[in-house]
Amino acid sequence: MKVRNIRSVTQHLGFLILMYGGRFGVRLGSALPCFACPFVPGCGGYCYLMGLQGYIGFGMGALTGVGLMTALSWFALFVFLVAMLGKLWCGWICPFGLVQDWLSALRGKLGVRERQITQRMKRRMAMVKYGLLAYIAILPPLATLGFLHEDFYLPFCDICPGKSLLPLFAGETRYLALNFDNGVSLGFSIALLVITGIMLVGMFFKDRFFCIFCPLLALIHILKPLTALRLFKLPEACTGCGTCRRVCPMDIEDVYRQRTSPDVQTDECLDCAKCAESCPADGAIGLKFLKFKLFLSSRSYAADSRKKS
Amino acid sequence: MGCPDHKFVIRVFLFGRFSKIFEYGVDLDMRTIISQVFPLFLIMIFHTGLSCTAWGGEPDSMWWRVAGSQKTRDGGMSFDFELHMTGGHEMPTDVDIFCVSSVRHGTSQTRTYGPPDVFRKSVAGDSNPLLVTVYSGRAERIEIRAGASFGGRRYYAGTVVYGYGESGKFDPDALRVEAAPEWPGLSLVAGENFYRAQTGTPISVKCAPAALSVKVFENRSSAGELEADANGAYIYIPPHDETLSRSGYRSKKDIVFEAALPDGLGVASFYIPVYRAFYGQTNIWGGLALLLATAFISLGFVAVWGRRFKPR
Repeated sequence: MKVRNIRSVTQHLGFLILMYGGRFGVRLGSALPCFACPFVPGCGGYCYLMGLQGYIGFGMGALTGVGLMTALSWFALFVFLVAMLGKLWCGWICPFGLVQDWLSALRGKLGVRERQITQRMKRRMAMVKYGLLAYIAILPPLATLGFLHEDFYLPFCDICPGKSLLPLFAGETRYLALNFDNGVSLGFSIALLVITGIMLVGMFFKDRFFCIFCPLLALIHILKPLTALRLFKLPEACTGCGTCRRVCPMDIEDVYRQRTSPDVQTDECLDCAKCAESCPADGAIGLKFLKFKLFLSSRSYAADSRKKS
Repeated sequence: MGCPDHKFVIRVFLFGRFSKIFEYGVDLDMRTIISQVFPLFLIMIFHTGLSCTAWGGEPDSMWWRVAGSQKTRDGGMSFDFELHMTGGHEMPTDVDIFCVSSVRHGTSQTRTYGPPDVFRKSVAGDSNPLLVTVYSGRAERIEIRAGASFGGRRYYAGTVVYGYGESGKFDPDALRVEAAPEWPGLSLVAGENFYRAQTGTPISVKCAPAALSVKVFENRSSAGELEADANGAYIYIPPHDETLSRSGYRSKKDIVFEAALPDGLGVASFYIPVYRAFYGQTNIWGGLALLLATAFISLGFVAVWGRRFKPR
C-alpha cells in the first residue's frame, strides 16, 4: 500500500473520529495537537489551543491546587502526543488539513494551477503564527483581569476559520453569521468572516494555505527537541533534482537546500512525507521514529508512484 | 401583581411639583429651587431606591439566588447561594435545606443521571438573605430545596446547579439522609437540561400539585403570570436583554417562578439564572454577504497579482 493511500485513510479516519466521535461516546479530551474544533456539535475531542486559552485566561483564578494539576496534566498530555507523533498530527490527522486537501483536490479537478508564493513573502507570512501564539498568551489574561471585555476569553477561536468552516460539516451554520450581541462579538464575527473569506480563496489556490499561519504548528515546532518522529535527509545520497521542493505542499526549500545536516524538520514541515515518496534517490529522504526508519525514499518506489499517478 | 410602575408614580409626582413651580412663574428663584426642588429630588431618589416590597404589592415568597461559584484548591467547586425572603419579613429560623445530587454519566450527547444522593444541609443564622455554601466534588446535578414556615404559612424554594468538581469528596457541612421530604413545589420539566439557560430559549417548569397561579419575575420585577399548557407545564421565554448582551458572558439575570399552591399549602418558588444568548442576535445573510464579498475581493487579488504558478 502506498504511503499516500495510508495517509488518506488516516486523514479520513481522523476526520470522522474527531468531527463526529462525540456522538458515539468518543472523548479524546482537550489536548489534541490538531484542529479538532470544539464548536462542532458532537466532536470527538478538542484542539489544545482552546484549552490553552481557557487555562491561560478564565482558568487563571483556578490555577491553584488541583486546578493547576489539571492544567498541567492537559499540557503534559499535549506534550506526550506531540512527542509521540510530532507533526504527523498536521499532515496525517488534522481535520482542517483534510478540508484544505479537499479544496486542493477540487482545484486539481477543475484544472486550475496552484499559485506560488515567493519565499520572501512566505517567510513574512510564517511569522504571523508566532504573533498569534503571543495573541493567545496575552489577551485571555487581560480579559480575566478586567482590562478587556469578558468576550475576549477565547480570542483565537473567535477568529479561527476552523470555527466557521468545520461546524458546517455537522450542519451548524451559526458561526457564519454576524453577531450583534455587543461591539466585541460583532468585531470578532466580522474578523472571523473576513479571515474565512480570505482563507477559503487562499486554500483553493495554494496547498495548505492556512498551515502557513497555524499557531498550533508553531507550538508543535517549539517542542521539536522532544519529538520522536522526524523527517531526515542523507545529503550524500541526494542528487539535487529538486523534486522534493516541487511536491511539497508548503513549498519548503530547506529539504532541497540542506547539504550538510540530516535535520530537515523545519517549522512549516507537516511530516506529510510527500518529499520522501517522490524522491528518486535511494535512501536520500526518510521518516523515522527514534532510530527506527519507517520509510526511505527509493528510485523504484518513486517511479512506481509516478507511473500510477 | 408586581411592583407598581415606579416611573409613572414619579412622573406624576414630578409634574405635580413642577406645575406648582410653574404657577409661581418668574418668581422662581434660587431659594425656591433649594427649598422645593431639591427635597423633591431627594424624595425621587429615595423612592427609586426602595425595594418592591415597600409597596406592599408583592406576595410573600422565599426564593433562592445563586450568588457565585468558584473552584476550590482541592479540585472541588463551591456554590454560594442566597435564600431571600420577600414581603419585608425576617428569615425564619427553622429553614430546612436539602441537596439532591445526581451524578452525571456519559458525554454531552449521551448524558444521563444516576440515582440521587440526598444530603441535609445545616445552616446557621437567620439573616435575610440567608447565605448557604454548597460543595460539589463530582460532575453532578445538584437540586437545592428549602422549606420554612412563617406566620402560619409554608414557603418552599428550589433551584438546580451543575457542579463539575473533581475531588470526589462530599460537602463537609451536609448530612446524608435516606430521602428528601415530599414537598410540593416547582421543578424544571424532566429531561431538559438547563446547564446554561439563555435569553430567547424557553424555560418550562411544572408544579405539583397543580398551582393556583404561577408568576414569573425577572430580577424581582414582575414579568407576568403564566398559563399552563396542555401538559401542565408553565413555559416562559426570557426576552433578549440589551444590558445583558452588552455585558460579558458571565453576566446573568435572576428568573424566579412563584406558584401559589392550593389548599393553603403555601407558596413555592423556583430560581434559574439566565445568561445572554450566545448567537441570539445574529444575521446570517449579512454574514454570508460579508464572507462572499471578502472572497470575491481575494479572488480579484489572486487574479491580478497572484499570477506566479508553481512548477509542475
